Amino acid sequence: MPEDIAGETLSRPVPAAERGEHQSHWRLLGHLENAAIGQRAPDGSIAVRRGEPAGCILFGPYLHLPEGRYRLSFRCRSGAPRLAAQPVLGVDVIVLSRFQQIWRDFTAAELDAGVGSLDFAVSPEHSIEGENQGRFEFRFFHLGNADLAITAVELERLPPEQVPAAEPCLWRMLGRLQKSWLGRRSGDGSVSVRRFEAAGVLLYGGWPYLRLPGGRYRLILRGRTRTRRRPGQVVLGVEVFLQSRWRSRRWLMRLARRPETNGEQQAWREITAEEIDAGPVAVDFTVPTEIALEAGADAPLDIRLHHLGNATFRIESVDLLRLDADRMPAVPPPSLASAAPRRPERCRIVMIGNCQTETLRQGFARIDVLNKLFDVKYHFVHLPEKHLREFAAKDIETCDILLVQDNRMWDEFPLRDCLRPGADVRKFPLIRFASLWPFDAWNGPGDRQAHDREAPNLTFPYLDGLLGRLRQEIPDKNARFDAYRALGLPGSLPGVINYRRLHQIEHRRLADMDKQFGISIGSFILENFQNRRIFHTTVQPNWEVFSLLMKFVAKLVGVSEPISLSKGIDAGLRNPQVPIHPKVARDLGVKWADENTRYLDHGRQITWERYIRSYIDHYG
Amino acid sequence: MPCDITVAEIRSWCINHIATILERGAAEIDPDVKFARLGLDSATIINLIIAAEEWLGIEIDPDTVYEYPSVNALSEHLASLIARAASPGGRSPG
Repeated sequence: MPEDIAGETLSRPVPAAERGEHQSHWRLLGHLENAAIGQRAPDGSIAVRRGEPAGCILFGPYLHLPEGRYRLSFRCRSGAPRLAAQPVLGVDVIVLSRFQQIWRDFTAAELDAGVGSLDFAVSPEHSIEGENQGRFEFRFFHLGNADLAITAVELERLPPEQVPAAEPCLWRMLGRLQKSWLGRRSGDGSVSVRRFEAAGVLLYGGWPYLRLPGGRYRLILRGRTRTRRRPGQVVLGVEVFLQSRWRSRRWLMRLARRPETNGEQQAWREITAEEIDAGPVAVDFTVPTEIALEAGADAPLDIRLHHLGNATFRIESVDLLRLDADRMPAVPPPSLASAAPRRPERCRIVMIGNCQTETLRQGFARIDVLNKLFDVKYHFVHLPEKHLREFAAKDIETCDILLVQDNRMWDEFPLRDCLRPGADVRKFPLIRFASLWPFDAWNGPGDRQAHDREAPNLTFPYLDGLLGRLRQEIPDKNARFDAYRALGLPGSLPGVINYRRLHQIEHRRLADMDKQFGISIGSFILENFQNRRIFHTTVQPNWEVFSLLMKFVAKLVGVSEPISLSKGIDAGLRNPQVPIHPKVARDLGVKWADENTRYLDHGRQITWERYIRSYIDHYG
Repeated sequence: MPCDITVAEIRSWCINHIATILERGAAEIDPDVKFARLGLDSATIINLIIAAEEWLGIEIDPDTVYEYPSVNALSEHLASLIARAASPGGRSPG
């Protein structure tokens, strides 16, 4: 998972309906996942220190919602901010990780009462009644400006008579911009620079990385000048880049407080002292569809303010406003000098597969050597949703290489006809491991009763077929748990698969996979699964396995340099971890898993017994 | 190994097992319809194969279901495997 956003996780835990089909209130905190930042308490609340890296702290729960208007409310305590006037917390409402509904950021003063909220609409096309699978996600971002503690998150469906006006999306960016060695930042976050300081980049970036939906935007700057050389002389340059991974991984660049330059310039404007003093200065720009969030592009925004050495001035705010269609200027103001986009020549790759593929796409974006060479987009194999098909079709028609996860769903992929004749299609394997979770619905019969009760908002995204069977055979919950724990001999308990035999079949399947692709991932799994945790769920490998897969995929596209994913991505991969039945672990020689092993589930450490008992309690 | 088992018994066992897996009535399982169309995926097919191995006491190659992709086809194949394994010098090849 990228350090700056939640990304699209493989598991999609979602809360249960509390009662009936017309639920209007959800308590979400316990159902949200947490990233690597912050400390989660047993009650689900999360605390993060000001000094911890800025980034996503809570995300999920991928909720399917009926059409209507909603209010997301949360309790949040903020400590004293480092930059008083700058936001400390940002909240994003997004569907399918692509369709942003609203963003709002909050300063410590705005959270003074300990609560915050934002309203959004569920349109027919994203609703549970629509043909699309609209999974709503709520992302909470620590902006690195104050200690934060989030202690409740609730969602409420608003009655039709209580429909608030739509709020514009506004990002207050000044506190998120990095300051170079030039200038000085004040306690409120404003930045001053003296005329005599050398000309150069004063502020840059925007952290955490900000990816934007397609459309028109207005960057609004407020400031004040003091001494200046000559009237009419430009004093400030404003530049906007997209697709800019400006944050350097090179320590010398970081030390020099300089950004990488690898993006596409979208706008450049030179501003005089008079313009700054006359009031807000606007720089408009467009996020083209092909590099927009909804197109699946990974195109972070990079705002740069250049001190041109002609005046002493102070920047008091840098705000980014999304322009609604009715507020778009028909013609850009004449003073704007929009630069033609400078497109880096990168090979266009489209990846089709399940959510493992999205993790690989993130690898392409994060590993410098790959990011320089390839522009990679991902589409889910199990349908591009109706409203994503247009993007997917266009991407497939125009890509240079199509990377396809080798599974049967590809054979039924609805957009195969969009492939150009002679298109360069290369396949990579789907990595899964059934042996440790023989009763998981991914590996055999599911728990239909649980599924029918909650789908699509499953509390336990990994349903257990054996527990489903036992529910019918053993009504008493304790007796059922005891039977499940004991397992008994195959055949003596209904629905118990011979998991030793399943493991033999897995052994052969993995060996065949290695042979087919010329890899050694299968043998790595078989050599290591007994000694350490290399899978979090039956379809979720850990970072080591993903790293091997990433190397293979890089080789597929002609990159033979050594590459690897960082261990840090595991923070996003291990939510949740499905506990392994202790008897299965023992019988398969798994040394690291027993009754006392702790597993991460929605930020809490739980044992196998606690997980199974809560499953039984929850589904009855 | 129950060497006197008939194709009809295997068919009946398969239908009941699939009906249990899919939580449907046995009457809804058409023995001539392909497993995939019945709603079995690769994981549930493996489950079916392992359960059949336990019941019949023979080892079955999981790929068998792709060569014999319906209840009727699989039942006849399994019956022939059993007969072969029960014959003098026979083995259960899977």
